[in-house]
Amino acid sequence: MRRIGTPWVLGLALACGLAAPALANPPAGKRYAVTVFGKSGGPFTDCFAFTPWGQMTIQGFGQLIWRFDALDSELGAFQAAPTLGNLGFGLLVHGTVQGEGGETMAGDIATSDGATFVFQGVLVSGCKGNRAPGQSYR
Amino acid sequence: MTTIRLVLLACSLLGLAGLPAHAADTASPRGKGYLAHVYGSDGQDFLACFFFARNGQLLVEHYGPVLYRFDALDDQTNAFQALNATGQVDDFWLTFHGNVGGDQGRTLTANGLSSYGTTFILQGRLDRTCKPQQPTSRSAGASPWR
Repeated sequence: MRRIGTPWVLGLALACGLAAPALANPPAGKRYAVTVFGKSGGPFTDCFAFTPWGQMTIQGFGQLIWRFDALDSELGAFQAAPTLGNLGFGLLVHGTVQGEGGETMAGDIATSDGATFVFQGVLVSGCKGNRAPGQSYR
Repeated sequence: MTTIRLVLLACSLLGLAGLPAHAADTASPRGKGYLAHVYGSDGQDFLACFFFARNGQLLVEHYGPVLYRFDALDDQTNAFQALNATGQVDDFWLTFHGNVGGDQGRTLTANGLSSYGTTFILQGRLDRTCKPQQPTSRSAGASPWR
């Protein structure tokens, strides 16, 4: 049996390492601990979770649908809108992720009541917010 | 002393030179209408007027009024976000995030997303024929946004 030489192993490892950030497509499949600042009222923390299939959960709000910008092709810039079935109050989120693995994110939020927020977040797999759904954005 | 004066003069001139760029940064769509070419992820391709009323309402042709606010806690007037206002009677949502650019905000670029998951890109320019009286419709089936 032919042995694989060290240079080949190193080369393969390097290639996988370089490809990993592109394959990850952040924020797909990631969770972010986020600090949210409103125009009135102090900052609060929240947790934004993005599934790879386009669902976003904001702990202090609920479910949204999310896509990348530029017809879902611009990795790293995303938008999120209320899902079908969401009657009454809703959120719009637009943000960007930074870092090779999408380690940080920042963006803007507008609500259907006309309130605006800005947020900054970091990648945290087990993030937790400090507000219950429905308490944070109204 | 002369050197300090020269430095101050140079800084003043540089500051003045920077003014036009700053003025361009503060362009706003408020009170303006734009004709935009819209491309949808569902293959649609259509024209639509967008009128940004001064009261924070954005009139979207073929859809109806939504509300808009600026980025950075409503302060960054060349970047906007828009969505349905609270109290709508159906569960369909249409949202936009975009920028105006050029001298006095003559151009508009934006991304859109509907609650069906359809994404849109918009490229537009200032168009004085896009006025608040533009006919809009939310009737089911008639809107290319749905």
